[in-house]
Amino acid sequence: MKNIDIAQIIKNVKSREFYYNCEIPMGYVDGYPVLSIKNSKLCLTIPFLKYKITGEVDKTLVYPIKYLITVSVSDEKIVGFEDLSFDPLFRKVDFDKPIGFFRHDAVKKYNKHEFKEKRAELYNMYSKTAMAILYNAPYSEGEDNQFKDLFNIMLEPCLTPIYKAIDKDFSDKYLK
Amino acid sequence: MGNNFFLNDDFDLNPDSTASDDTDVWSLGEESDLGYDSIHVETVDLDMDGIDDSIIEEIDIDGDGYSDIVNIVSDTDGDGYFDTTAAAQDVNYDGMIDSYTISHDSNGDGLVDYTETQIDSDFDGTVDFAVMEEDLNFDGVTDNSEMMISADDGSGDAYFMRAADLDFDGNTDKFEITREENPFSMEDEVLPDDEMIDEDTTYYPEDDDDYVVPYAPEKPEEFDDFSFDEDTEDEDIDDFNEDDDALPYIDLDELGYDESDDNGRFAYELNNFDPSTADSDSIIGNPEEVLDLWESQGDTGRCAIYAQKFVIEEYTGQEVDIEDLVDLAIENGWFTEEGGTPIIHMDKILDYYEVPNETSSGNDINDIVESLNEGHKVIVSVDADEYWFGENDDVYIPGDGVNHAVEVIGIDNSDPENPLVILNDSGNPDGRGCLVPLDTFMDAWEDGNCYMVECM
Repeated sequence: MKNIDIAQIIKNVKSREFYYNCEIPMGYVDGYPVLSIKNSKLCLTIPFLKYKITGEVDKTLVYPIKYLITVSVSDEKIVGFEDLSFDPLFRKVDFDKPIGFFRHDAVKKYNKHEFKEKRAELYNMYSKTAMAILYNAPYSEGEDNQFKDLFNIMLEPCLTPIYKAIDKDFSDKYLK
Repeated sequence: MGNNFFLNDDFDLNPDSTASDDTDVWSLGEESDLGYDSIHVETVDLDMDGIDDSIIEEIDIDGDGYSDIVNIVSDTDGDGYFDTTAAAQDVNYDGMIDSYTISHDSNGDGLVDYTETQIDSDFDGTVDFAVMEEDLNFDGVTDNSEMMISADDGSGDAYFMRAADLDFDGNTDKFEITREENPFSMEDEVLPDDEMIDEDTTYYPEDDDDYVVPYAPEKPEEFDDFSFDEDTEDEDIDDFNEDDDALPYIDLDELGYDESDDNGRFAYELNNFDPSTADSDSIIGNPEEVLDLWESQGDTGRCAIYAQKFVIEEYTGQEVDIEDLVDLAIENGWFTEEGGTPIIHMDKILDYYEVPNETSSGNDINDIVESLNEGHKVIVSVDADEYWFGENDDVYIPGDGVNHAVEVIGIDNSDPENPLVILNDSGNPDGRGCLVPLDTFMDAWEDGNCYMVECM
């Protein structure tokens, strides 16, 4: 059973030549990924969006997710790249207009370092879930609920409509 | 059995009709009252819906068992109406097709909007003359004509002429003549499939698998359900960002936030390198020589262009106009004002100005030190928020990624415990030789996997 580290997979994707060739402009960062099963293979879809710090606390601007890179979890093979501005479904989205602020209410209590810890915790849960799906690794209902709770705390509420549009199954399961 | 096949119910003239009979092939053979030696007719179901869509007529004029004329009419879109005709003829009965014509009504309005004719006038197996006409806006008037005439000098080359009325105002907008090397051979294009040639007399298919139709015309690619219409008129798309799933856009004006006033964003006080007070023995690189090349990018996303500008000016000793560089980058798709510069294009202007450079990722600070010691120039991509707002733990963004490009012009090692990286940072209003603690710089650089452009 191979150890799955979702945070490392994302880091690896961003180090690859493919990522540079996608020409995602500087300023876009990876958001919380989506787990999905495509043709019996577990995949990870990494969204990319931009933030703009205004200098004011809790008034960092959040913009819509614009790019998606999908990778097969077991072998880290890149299986998809999408620029949502070319997707007819998203034709009415203005990707250059902010849709919310960071920090949102649920994370206002976390400073930079505490937030990083929480984020790492969430990615550990992603990894556990992936291990459970791929290898039937131990995974309890309690852990699943914990994943759900933390995901809903960490995700900016303004992004939930886009997550629902990107992957309904994942959103139905993990978005409250 | 008869030759009045156009009235046969077996054709898909009405898509709703299921009427059909069993007649698929007629052969007049010696009984032909048209004077030909043999006529063979068959029907084909192109879209496999059980209803025939195409009639193929083959005529063997000289009675050698080979078809000399082939005529085809087809309903290629299955709407019940013939929309394509094609004809091929072997004029001198040598087994090679000498003329070929196709006409097509791509939008089903009853008007032909595409015709193409190819002629091998000297019977050498290659096309000597070809003409194509298109009615691009389906108004019944030809808008684009292209003609090919063999150069007739033994080279195999051909002249191509094109006349086009692209704005459909009745006047020619484009006219050009070009010469191309050996553009195509008729042998490759339209020779009949051997399976269609009946060695004996007339071809009688024995089972369904024999319905091979090499002459069945393909719908011209230009009209293959393709439209320039904006998909915004497509009512079938279930739009995201409407009604319940609408995104909660923020009106920045209402909030009184001025995006163009970035000066207020910088919460982190950075000191600037001062050559007059610096211990030159502790400085890596030659920052004092390039400090004055620094410029502010203002409220733009031009950081990578400015960083390259600084380096180009260092190399050439000549000032270059930022607007020229911006135009160059936009023209080549290396930059947009809205999106900035993708990392992969951080060196493209340097390449244009022939500044030798190498890009790499996964570096460490020693790579920068080594490069500066050799007199090279260094541009890096960073998460500038790490040092613009580094001291305020309540101002940060989730996720890691780079958002900025800067030139590293030196390292100040006066205090070995607390080295400082010296940057010419166009994104900081006070970015001339700004000093960033090494640890903070590394946090910023690592967010982009320590990507670096080294200019030799």
